Amino acid sequence: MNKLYSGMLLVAFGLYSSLISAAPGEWWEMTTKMEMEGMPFAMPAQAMKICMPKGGQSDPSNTQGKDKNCKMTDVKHSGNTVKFKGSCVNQGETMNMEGETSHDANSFKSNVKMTGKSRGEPIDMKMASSGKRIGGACDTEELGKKAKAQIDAGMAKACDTSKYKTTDWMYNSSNFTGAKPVCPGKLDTMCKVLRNDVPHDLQAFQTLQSMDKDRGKDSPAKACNMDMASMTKAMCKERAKKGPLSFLEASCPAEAKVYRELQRKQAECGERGFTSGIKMKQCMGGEMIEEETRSAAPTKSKKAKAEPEQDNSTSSDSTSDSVIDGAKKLKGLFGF
Amino acid sequence: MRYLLIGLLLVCQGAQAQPDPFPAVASAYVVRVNGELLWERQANRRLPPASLTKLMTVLLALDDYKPKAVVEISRQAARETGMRLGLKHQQRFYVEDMLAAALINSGNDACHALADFVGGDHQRFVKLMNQRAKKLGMSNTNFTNACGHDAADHFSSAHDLAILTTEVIKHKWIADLAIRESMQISEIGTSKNYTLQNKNALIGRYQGALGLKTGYTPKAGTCLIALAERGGTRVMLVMLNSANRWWDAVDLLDLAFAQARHAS
Repeated sequence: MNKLYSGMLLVAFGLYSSLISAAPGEWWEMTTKMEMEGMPFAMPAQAMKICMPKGGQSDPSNTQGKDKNCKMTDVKHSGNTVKFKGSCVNQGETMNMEGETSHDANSFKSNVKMTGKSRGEPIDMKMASSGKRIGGACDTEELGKKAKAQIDAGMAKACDTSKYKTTDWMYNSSNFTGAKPVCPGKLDTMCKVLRNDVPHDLQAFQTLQSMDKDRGKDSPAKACNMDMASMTKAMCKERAKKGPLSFLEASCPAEAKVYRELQRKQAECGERGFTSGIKMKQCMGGEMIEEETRSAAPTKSKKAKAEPEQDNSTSSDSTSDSVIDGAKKLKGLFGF
Repeated sequence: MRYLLIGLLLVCQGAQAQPDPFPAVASAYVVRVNGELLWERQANRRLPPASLTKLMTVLLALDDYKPKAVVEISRQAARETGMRLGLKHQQRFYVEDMLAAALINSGNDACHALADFVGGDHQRFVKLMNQRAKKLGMSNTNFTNACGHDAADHFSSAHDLAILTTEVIKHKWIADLAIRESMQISEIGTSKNYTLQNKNALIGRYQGALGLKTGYTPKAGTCLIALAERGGTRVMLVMLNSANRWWDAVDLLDLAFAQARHAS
């Protein structure tokens, strides 16, 4: 999902940058399609109407975007074809691009390959774009400002945490962390929320635990210096009698064992329908299964008997039977 | 990849000093997942192993194994105590049937007869047992009898028994036998049949149970070596002097599988 997000940011960046190229221009219809390595589905083509400087279709800066962090290098024009290379460095991560644009007065077609890293994820992406001149005068600067305002509003909306639940903070934690966070100044608030809520909210705890396992050093727990081991211990203690078993089994085997025993004893006593308090107590503290035949004293086993001739079974026989009885109960209670 | 993750989990758990989450279940226990240690308690403590001893007897019987060789019941074997089939002096059986009786029914008379057959006599067989134990690296094990009777110098450890189990279960014949709920054996030359009932209550009841051996003596308490496999994950449990053998086995096996699932 992070890859998808990164890819979308790149496309948005490219389109946005081409829009804010200053100078009088004319209307073009531009379609962009992206293919990314490892994506489970194809991204739909995106079409939009843009204002491009006159003759700008021969300049890769117009068709591929402009940004202070990007450099277009090795631009070679040959007739109606332009080959180019470029790179963008953003927060220490480099994205390289290499492409070719063929153009005439009324159209262009461009294919670009991008490789590198974005938001910690390796990116291997192909972007095919085409443009068709619609005509009519337009002001690129004005449209650029409008687009910038729209994007700024979008970012403000993305950084609005006023309705966040605890897990929302976690899912969006990458917006608040890092040297240059997308939404600056929110890390402390996020950490405060997580420290307050997670120890009392199983769902939030499990989300944080899972993210800690998956993201490692980039997890929200690490960003907030939260000690997952001690939090797990505390949550296990709190959930020891309440469950759910799935959580206890995964995170706290000792508590899971006690919980299973408790459930088992309750089920067993419930089935017996004791009305006497003493019997109920015996039931709760008693063992369900008698143990196997003693082997210290000389005895013969009924179950292991020589069928035609065993006639002197001893006390071991009854204990042997009770193993089977116990096992039947075992089977009955747990369905195995 | 899954095994790598399980391995990493196990390493991490070791580092978190949580090797013994169940101190009450047994005097000593070991839980291994796909051969890797998950939990343990006093795994090197020397304790009486009761009938778990018979795994060594079975292992030695499988050396140069001739299933249709004939075993004659000695006077000493017929006098065996504890769990027994009631075999009589001079009765004759096939080796494979004595092995089955010793393993799944834990018959001491069958076990003794097997030891006599393999070692020539009981004392020589015990020497062979200790030699093999040493060879396997069972450093906290010493046997004084073939079948697991309590004795001052008869001891093993949960860790050593896990080593022994790993060795025994390599034999397909044992693996096939250990999962049988019951079987019949016959005396050679007569029509006498003996029904062997597997003492392992998990067999046929616990999903994925593969064996392997139960044991009980007053000194050893209830003991169990349980093996189970689900979805490619194999769990081995060794318990010596357990408090509540079957329920604890079910719990620990289930929890070990849950840990493996969680790690994958």
